Amino acid sequence: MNTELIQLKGVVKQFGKNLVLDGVSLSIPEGKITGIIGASGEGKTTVLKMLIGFYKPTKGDVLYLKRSVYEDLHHINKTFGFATEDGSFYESLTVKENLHHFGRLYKIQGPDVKARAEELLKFVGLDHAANTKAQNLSVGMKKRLDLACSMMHRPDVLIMDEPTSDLDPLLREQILNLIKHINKQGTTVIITTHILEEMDEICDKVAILCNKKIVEEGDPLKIRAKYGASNLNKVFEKIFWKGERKAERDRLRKEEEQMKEEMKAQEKEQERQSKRKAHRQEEQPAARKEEPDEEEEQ
Amino acid sequence: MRNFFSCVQKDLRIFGRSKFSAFIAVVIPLVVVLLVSVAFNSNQLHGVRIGVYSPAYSSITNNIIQGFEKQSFGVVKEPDKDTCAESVREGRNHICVIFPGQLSSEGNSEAVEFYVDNSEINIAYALIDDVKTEVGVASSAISLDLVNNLITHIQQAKKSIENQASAITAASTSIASISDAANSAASTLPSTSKTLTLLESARSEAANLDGAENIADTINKTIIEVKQLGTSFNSTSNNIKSLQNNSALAKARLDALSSSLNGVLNDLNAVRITEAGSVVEPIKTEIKPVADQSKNWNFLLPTLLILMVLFGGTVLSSIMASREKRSRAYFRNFITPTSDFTFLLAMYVSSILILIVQFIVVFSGLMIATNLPVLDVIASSAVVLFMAATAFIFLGLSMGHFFKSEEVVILVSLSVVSLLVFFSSIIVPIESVLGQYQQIVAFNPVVVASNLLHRAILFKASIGSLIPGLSILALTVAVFLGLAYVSRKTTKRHI
Repeated sequence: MNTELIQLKGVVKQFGKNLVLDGVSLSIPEGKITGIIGASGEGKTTVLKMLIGFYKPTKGDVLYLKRSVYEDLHHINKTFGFATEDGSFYESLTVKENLHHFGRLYKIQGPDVKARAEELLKFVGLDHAANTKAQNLSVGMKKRLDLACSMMHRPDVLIMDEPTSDLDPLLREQILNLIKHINKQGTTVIITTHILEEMDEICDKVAILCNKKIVEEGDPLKIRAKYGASNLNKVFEKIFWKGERKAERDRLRKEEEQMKEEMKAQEKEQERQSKRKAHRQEEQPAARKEEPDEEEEQ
Repeated sequence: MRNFFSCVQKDLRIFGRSKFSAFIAVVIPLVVVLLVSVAFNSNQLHGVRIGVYSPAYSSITNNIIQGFEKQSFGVVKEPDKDTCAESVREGRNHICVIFPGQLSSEGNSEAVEFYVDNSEINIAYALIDDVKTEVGVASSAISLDLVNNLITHIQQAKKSIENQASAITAASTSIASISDAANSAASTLPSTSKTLTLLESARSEAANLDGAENIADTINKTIIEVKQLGTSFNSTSNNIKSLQNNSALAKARLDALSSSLNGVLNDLNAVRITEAGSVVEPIKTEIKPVADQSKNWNFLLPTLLILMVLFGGTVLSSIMASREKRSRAYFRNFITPTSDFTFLLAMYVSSILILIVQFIVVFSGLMIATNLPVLDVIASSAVVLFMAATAFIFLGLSMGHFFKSEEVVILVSLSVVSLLVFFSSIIVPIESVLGQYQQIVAFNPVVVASNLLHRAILFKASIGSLIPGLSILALTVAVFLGLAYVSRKTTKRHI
């Protein structure tokens, strides 16, 4: 087994004047689940999109089996699967039509497309919704459809961008189980997420992206031990809030406390108003009860 | 190929599932064709208002005005010249005609003036033409009367001269006879000198004879009478000579007059005009329509079809490309091992299939709603429409791929379409474009396709005769295909 399936070597990516990645180097082992952790806007998705050649680095290179991915994008497209954060499928096609369409784009032969689609529908638990239009699916079902679309061609490497975002804990659990299951079948999985508990749970390797660079990579247990933290959340906090960001953290904490106090005050005010309202409502029926009596007397 | 067909199937499914899009694709073209076929089902201009003014309306002016009314033009008599001209500027009238006061057939020093809004270029010249024709008809009628009158007078003068010439000839002959008679009379006058000599010798002899005094007296008296007679003969001879001279002079004059009249007659005979029409309109013109159809609708049909292809092809494909590019699935399409060319071709096929459906609907509608012999022209028209649609779809795809937002894509595609329409003969004749630009404009696919379709539908031109134009369209297709491919290739990462 090749331990270094994919390598990012000193990757710099700039969009116009905006520097997104500044010398990112990372190796991704074969057959494992690798997680890339980072705050929002740190460039996690950019890293993922570089792995499949969608973006070209401004400097540096991305290697797959020690060859630049840009040398043979056709091969990369056949080998990699990509499940996006928002879902990448046609909303007005049904679940089955989406799978068939992308299966054919991956050049899977006629009968195999149907068989593979049915297999995946069962695998992701969408067999009951095969003829439902994608736009009518729930968020969790859309995530699973996107996952199925990205797996139609049995990729060797599956990239998943925030696979559990916007999901309730139950659905999150289902997706994580699916990821583990996919990995067990021999697929190398690369995921990004901001829910760090998940990384603790499923990743064999994590890489922490901070200030446009990979600041830590390796076994999650070892990283936790290195930082003396009980979980990756705390590791991330220690890395993220150190140095120049300390002042920013203090400001944010102050703002958070202020906000909490304001919310408490608002809640109290609302409570007071609702009590007054209830009191008035209690008084009005009594008044109304008196009125019919007056009419009867008349 | 499976991925190609899958893309086409997907595009059509998405299009079909949007009921509004499907409605627009099928029903709108039909409605447009039916509306246009009903609205333009005539061969003349309607609702045209002509303002007229004359300081004094003569019968000729009124005849011309009646001629306008017969052509279904609304005629408005304006109170004065300035109001009439102003009415054209204000749009109350399409054209204003100022007639001179008391327009007569006796010749008019003032001209008939036309005021026309030449900024309304498409109707201005058509109206000028129609109105000038109407005035021209009246003018020709007057000319015809005048020239007829002239010719009649010439004919009468000719006859009179002929008569006079023969009378002069007869007079000349008579004078010649008189001269001859005088000559003869002069020659027959006897000479009295011999008689006098004899009488004088007889008197001398009588004088010598005695008793013959009476005889001598008688002879003397006779001599005196003979002398008087001689004097009288001389006087007569002189008179005859004078008569001869005068008659010779008169004959010479009459001969000269006869010769002059013969010259005039020859000149009049040399005038070959015997009919007034040939003077009023020496070169006769007759406009023969080359197209069989006669309704405005028939002439508009090629333009209408080209506009449908242009708007349908360009706007539909540009929106399809833009929506595809902005759809969630675009990223997944990008990371599949399917080439850009396959996606481009699939989108083209999807667009052309939608246009084909539109045109099946349109031509079916035409067969039902009009008398157009659709089946006679369907082959050549279909080829032209297919080539034009292909060019416009690739143009639309290039714009759809090149620009980021759908709003910009729609705006740009409508602008480009408008530009193509503007530089064709649809709004303004391309002949009004400057010479050097005309050569470029001639390659405008709207111009090329419009001309081809015009020939195919109105003149039933065969496909073979359309090949030069079709070659230009094929070249345009190749250029737009290249543009669309480059546009997709260069911009697809920038989403």
